[in-house]
Amino acid sequence: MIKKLVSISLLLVMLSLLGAGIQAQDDIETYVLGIPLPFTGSFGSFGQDFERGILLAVSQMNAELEAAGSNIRFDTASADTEQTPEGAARALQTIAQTTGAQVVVGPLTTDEVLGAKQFADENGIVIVAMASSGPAASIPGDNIYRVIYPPDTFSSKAFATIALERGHENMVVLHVDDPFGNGMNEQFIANFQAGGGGEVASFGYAPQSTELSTEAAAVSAALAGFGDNAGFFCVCFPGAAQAFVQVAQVDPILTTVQWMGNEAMTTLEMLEDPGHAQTLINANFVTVSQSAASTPLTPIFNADFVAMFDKEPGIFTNYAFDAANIAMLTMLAAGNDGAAVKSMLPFISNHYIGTTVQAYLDDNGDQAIASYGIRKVSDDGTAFEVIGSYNGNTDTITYN
Amino acid sequence: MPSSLLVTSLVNTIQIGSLYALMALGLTLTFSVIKLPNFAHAEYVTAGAYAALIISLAGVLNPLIIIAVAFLVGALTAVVSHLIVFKPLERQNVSLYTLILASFAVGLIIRYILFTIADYFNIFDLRIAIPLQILFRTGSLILTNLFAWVAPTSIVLVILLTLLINRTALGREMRALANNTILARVIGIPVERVKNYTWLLVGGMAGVAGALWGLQSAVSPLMGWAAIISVFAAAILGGLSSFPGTILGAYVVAFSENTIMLFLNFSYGVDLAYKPAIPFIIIIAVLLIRPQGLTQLLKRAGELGR
Amino acid sequence: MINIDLGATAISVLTLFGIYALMSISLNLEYGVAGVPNFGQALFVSIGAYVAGVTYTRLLPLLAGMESVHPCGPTMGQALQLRSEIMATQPVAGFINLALTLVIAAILSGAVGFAVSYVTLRLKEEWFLALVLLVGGETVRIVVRGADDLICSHNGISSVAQPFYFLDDVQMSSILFMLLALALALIAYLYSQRLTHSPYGRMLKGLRENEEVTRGLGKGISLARAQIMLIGSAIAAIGGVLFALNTGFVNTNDYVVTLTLDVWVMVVLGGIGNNRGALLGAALIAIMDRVTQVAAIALNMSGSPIEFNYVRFIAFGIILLLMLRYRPAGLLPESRLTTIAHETAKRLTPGKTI
Repeated sequence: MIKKLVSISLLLVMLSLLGAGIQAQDDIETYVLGIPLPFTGSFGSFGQDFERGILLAVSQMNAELEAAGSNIRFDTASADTEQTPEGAARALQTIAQTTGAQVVVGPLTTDEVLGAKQFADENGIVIVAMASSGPAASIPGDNIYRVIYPPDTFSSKAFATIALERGHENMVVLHVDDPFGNGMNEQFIANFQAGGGGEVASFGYAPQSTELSTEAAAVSAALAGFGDNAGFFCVCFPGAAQAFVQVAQVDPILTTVQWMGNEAMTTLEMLEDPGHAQTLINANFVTVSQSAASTPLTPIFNADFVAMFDKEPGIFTNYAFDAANIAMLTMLAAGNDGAAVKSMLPFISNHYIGTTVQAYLDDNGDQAIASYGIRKVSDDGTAFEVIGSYNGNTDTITYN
Repeated sequence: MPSSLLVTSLVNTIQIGSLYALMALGLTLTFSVIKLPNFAHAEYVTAGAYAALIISLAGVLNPLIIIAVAFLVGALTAVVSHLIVFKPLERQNVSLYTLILASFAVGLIIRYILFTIADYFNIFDLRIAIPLQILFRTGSLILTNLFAWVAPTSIVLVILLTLLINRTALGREMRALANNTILARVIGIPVERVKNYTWLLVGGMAGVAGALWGLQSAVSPLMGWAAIISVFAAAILGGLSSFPGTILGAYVVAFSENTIMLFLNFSYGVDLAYKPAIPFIIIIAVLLIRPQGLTQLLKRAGELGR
Repeated sequence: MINIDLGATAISVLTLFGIYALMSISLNLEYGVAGVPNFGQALFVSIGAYVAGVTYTRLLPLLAGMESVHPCGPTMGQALQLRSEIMATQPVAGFINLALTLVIAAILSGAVGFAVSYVTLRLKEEWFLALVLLVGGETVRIVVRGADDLICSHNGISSVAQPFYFLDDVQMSSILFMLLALALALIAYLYSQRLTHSPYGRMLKGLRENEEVTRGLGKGISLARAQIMLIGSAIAAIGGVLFALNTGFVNTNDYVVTLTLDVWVMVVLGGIGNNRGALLGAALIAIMDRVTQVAAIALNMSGSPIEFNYVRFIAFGIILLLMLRYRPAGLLPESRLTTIAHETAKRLTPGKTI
């Protein structure tokens, strides 16, 4: 048995020697960007896509650095969070202790970010999260920066404003039962009612659901109970959203009311089935999404992504791309040092314009600029197109 | 609870209950013939669903072909897991818990192989693209082409399987094996061959269930795993031994998850997010209170009928 | 660029080993010694974590002489600041709080384990208990997830700091926490060694091997099982408290079936019925987790097109299957139990197997 333990420690030593060998090549200095993401679990496909977005940013940055004659290069180290908070903590530990990384881009959900928080805070590692937006992680002074995606306080307000503008007196909400879905639901209700809206009936669905016929029936009945002038708001992840539309498309009530949906519902998979696309068109489906607030860089990013990976970028992939760029730019300015990066990151992100919008961080280290695009399904049902914009900082909607 | 909701939820109960029945019968069969509570059963479902999805993406949209391919892939996965893992372990006479752990390990391996495949082809969260049409509609009763596929296919397969078990030589041998393995061996039943056929049927039915499941919701590597507890609940309601009990159990579970859940939501405000707890509660209650499941109940009903 | 910090790696892996060891010793007592198939390990571990979530938000401020703030809802951030401040500045309050947390967790979880074992009596087949515990754990998880106040439902409680958080030297603080975990694991190990090698332990093993015979020898079954479930569950909950402190976060999403399976794998790998085997299994899983993760980083860096994070799980499954097939008794199989009488008999009658 001791033999086995010895051989395992030998393996560890060999790996470290291997690392030392690579390090000793020439005088190029390598900064490692950690990527703790859920590669397994139900968000596995998000994890993979985000990693690709980060790899694209890194390869572009390295090419520029080489062309400029810089001796700095970036490398990445990815570890699986297994989509659990404790898994995120372990992934972060491994990344930091194996590569000396001081900055990581990820993890994905608010749960995982909070799981990684203690280790990051204690060891001075900076977490640059690209998509977490739950209010539970809005904590001042810690090492968590949520640079691109603003907290859902803004988008929930946007949805409430649209609902009121559409003349809905009552609303029915179907939301994923996790911190994101619940937070969005609660804030939506508060905003909707503060703006003069009436009753809101909410239904949570279990996060792992693959089949939502019960939920669809409940939503339909609640809408029927409210009578005319009721609207529907879906806060759903892609798999569940498809399962929902699949049943909703023949529902007599759900096919006659107007729908809104969160940004995750705007994946192209949602439109793969023409019946689904038609349902969303008929429902006048709109979403408020930050990725639609595109800049001149957005199409370039899309083209580069396709060129590198031979597939379209996924829904939040450009957030990961932007977050990686902010992290790398800060490291170029502050060096490979967590404390210095933490100190400079707000400054750098406040001067960054990427594929989404400009970043500007508030006291909690969260994105404070809330500039969203309003999107609907195009008439031919093949894509989501921008029809207007929402400025969260002034609470105004502008249609094109 | 509004009557329209009742009607819709009953239709859902039939549709989902039929799928559960397909999966749960396989589980019951594995348990009675192979003596294994097989947690890898979930993965045969997912494997079938992915097989169906991949050929539908390749342009094959004939449901019959899709179902046949799903049957083959599910059956293959099951037979391979039997030959490589379960058969050698059984020969060693290991404890039941070792077998349960092995079934978890098999499930893990298949699941992550499917993850690798899904990642390679970028086919997460896609649905088998057969468009939905309304076939029949009166009032709040709506039947779709999907319902017309899912419910009858499941029911026909369930009937075929029951006939096979009750009327054919193979079925007789399987029943003998289920009753007493040693005796079955003594009287010259080709035990290994019967077991192979059992695995083939079990996996095939799970695969078909996966394909049908993928017609109505998105296919992902975790879909089978997400349904396995409901399926276990159905099989346990059937006392893990009786076919009619299992079928009834499947509909009871589906009824609880749909109609009863909606009733609780409407009357007492119980959040729908508690839905996954329903099969858990059924399992605990049955095992504690009526470990024989519904079988006795069915028998009594049968006696009354006579 | 691989550049392993061996010191920090060792601290992390050893801490994890200590926590896993508590869980595997617990399961080994329950299943390996007494034969109770506890597939609800995650439940008992989670009880410890939830208790920590409650004490850190309710008890800790009281111990520090401050007014507690409701941990959920709008005051969530304020409550979080409060407990980090206390843990950073008032170590005594932190230690008392931890001690009380461990005691409450052990008592509560032990009581649940005790009660659950009586359920066995009602079950037709023994493996039903495995299933009841498996789904029971998930049921409790769903209920806690939905409960608004306990640990703020799905949000969980963050900044549940380990007791040495007040030290400025982070490495020293993590070394001390590691030592704490190892010390608790050692105590649990010594205790269960003593228990296993006592007449009581032999009776339990007799129970596991053959209920009827043991019963025939006049040994009470249900009480013995209940006692061992009480002890085992209490140890698991202590592991759960440390598990939560190690992450600094209490959240229901961590206590899923996979955790239970990991603990089972530890016991099966190490050697069922052997406490040293349980320790070895815990060590192997803690090391394997890290080694495969490091390998995944190295391989992914080398630009290999395969996603090694999936291969990790496939490899894990294959290793488990190989072990079950070729070393079903584990790496350190259970040794034969001997007593003084047994030894004497052996000595007096050489050449005969007894």
